[in-house]
Amino acid sequence: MSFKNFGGFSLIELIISISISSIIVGVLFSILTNINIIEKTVFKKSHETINTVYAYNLLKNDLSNSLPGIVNGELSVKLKNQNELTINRISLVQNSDLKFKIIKVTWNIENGKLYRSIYEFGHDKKSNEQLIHDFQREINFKLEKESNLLTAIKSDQKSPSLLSLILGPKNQEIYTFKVGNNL
Amino acid sequence: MTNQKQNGYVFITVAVIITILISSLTIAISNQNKNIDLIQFYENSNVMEEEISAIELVITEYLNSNFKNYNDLLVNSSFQTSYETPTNAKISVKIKPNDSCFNINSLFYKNSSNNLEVNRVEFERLNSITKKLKINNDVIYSIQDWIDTDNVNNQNLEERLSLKSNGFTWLPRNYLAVSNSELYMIPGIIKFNEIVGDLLCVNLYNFKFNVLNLNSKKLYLLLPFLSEKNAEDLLEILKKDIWPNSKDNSKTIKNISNFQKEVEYLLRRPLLLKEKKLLDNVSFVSRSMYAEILYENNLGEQYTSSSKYEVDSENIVKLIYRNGPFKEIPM
Repeated sequence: MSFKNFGGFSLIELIISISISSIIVGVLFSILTNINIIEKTVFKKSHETINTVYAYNLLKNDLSNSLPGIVNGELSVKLKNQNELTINRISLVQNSDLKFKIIKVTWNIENGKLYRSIYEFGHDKKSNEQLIHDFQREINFKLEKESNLLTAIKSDQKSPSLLSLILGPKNQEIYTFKVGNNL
Repeated sequence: MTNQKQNGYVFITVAVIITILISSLTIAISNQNKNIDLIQFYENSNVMEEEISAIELVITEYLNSNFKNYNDLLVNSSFQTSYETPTNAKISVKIKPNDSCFNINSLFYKNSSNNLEVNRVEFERLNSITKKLKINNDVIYSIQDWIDTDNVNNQNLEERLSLKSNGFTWLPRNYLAVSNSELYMIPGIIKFNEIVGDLLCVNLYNFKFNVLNLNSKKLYLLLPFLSEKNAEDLLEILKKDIWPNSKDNSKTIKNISNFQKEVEYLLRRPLLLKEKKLLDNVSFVSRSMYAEILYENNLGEQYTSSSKYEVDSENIVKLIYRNGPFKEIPM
C-alpha cells in the first residue's frame, strides 16, 4: 500500500468545506429558530384573539337570549359596579321533556380576568365557574343605554338594553352588545 | 473513505435540516389554519345573528305598521315570508298570534301598593277549565306559587322544597312571567298544554285572549258558561260579517256588547253578573305575535330562531325576547 493511492483532501479544502457547511447549517438553524419564534408569537396572538372572540360570542349569546322582567325581587338582566353582570337567559335542554329552560348566568371581572358562572334559575349557588379569558389588562362593563321595556322595581336598579365591554385604558378596545335584540 | 461518501454526509445533513424546517412550517401553518377556521366559524355565527336580527327588525316594523293602521296585529296585509341575504343564506318567517290562549299572568293584578294579588275572576275561569277537562286543579296553585312572592306554597310547604320534591332544580320566578318557555318550568303545565295544544301561555302586557283566533275547544274552555255545542255555534257566528242578533244590513261591529247578545241568544238567557265579568278579558284584536325564523346558510345548514312581539302600554310593538339561533332544533 502506498500513500500516493489515497485521494484525500488538503487542509485548505477541509477548512473551506467545513466553513461552507457550517454557514449553511447555521443559516438553516437560524431560519428554524426564527420560524419557532414567529410561530410562538403568532400562536400567542391568535390564541388571545380566539379567546377574545370566544368571550365576545359567549357574552353576545347570553345577552341576545336574555329575558326581561324580574326574578326573585331583582331585575332579570342587571349590571352592578361595572364588574358584575347578571343575566337570566333561555337555554336549550337536551334529552328532556323541556325544550328550553331558564338559567342564571353571571359574568364577573377580577384583576383583568373574565369569569362566567352558571346557576339554576333563582338560585345563588354556582354550579360551575369558568375563567373565560385573562385579558391581562384593565377591563370593565359599561351601561350604554337603559332598557325601557319594563319599569325598574327600585330606583338604583338599571337594566341595560345596550352595554359595552371595555378593554383598556391604553389602546382601548370597546365591544358593544344589544340586550335581547331590543333597543 | 471516498470523496463520494464525504459528499453524501453533507447532503444527508442538509436534507434532514430542510425536512425539519418544512415539517415545522407545515405544523405551524396547520395550527394557524385551525385558528383561522375557528375565527371564521365565529365570524359566520355573527353574520347569521346579524341577518336574523335584521329580519326581527323587519317583523317589528311590519307589526308596528299594522297596529298603527288597523289597531290589530293580525291583519292579512302582505308580509314577505322569504328572504335571501347578501351571504346567499335563505330565511323563511312564519308569524302567528300568541293570544289565542289563557295568559297565566292574568291570574294576578297589582294592588295600590304595587303588590300582586289574585284575580278571582280569572282564577275561577282556570278552575272551570280544569273541571271541564276533568283534571286536578293543582296546576292553578303551581302557577300561583310561580308568580306570587310568598315563600310558602298553598299546602304551607316551603316553595323551594315543593319544587325539589317534584324533581325540579330551580326556584320560582316570584313575579309576573315573561316567556312561554318558562311555562314548562312550572309543575304540571307540560301535561296540561299537551291535552289542549298551548291553552296556557304568557303575555307581558296583553292580558286578554283574542276570541276570533280561538278554535271551538278553546272557546268552550275559556268561557265557562258555554257548552261545546254553544262554542261551535258561536264560532260559526263570529266568522260572519253580520251577526244575527246585531243590527241588520250593516257589518257588525265586533265588540263585547254585540258578542254578549249572541251568547245570550245561544244560552237563551241573560248572562249573570259574574258571567259578564268573564267577558272583561275577551278581545277582538290581536296584540301579541310569535315569529318562527328558519335560517339556511349557503352550505345548507339550518338554524332556527323564535321571537315574541307585543304591543306595550304606549301602543308600540316591541320585541320582548328571542330564543336562538339554535342548530336544527324543531320549533
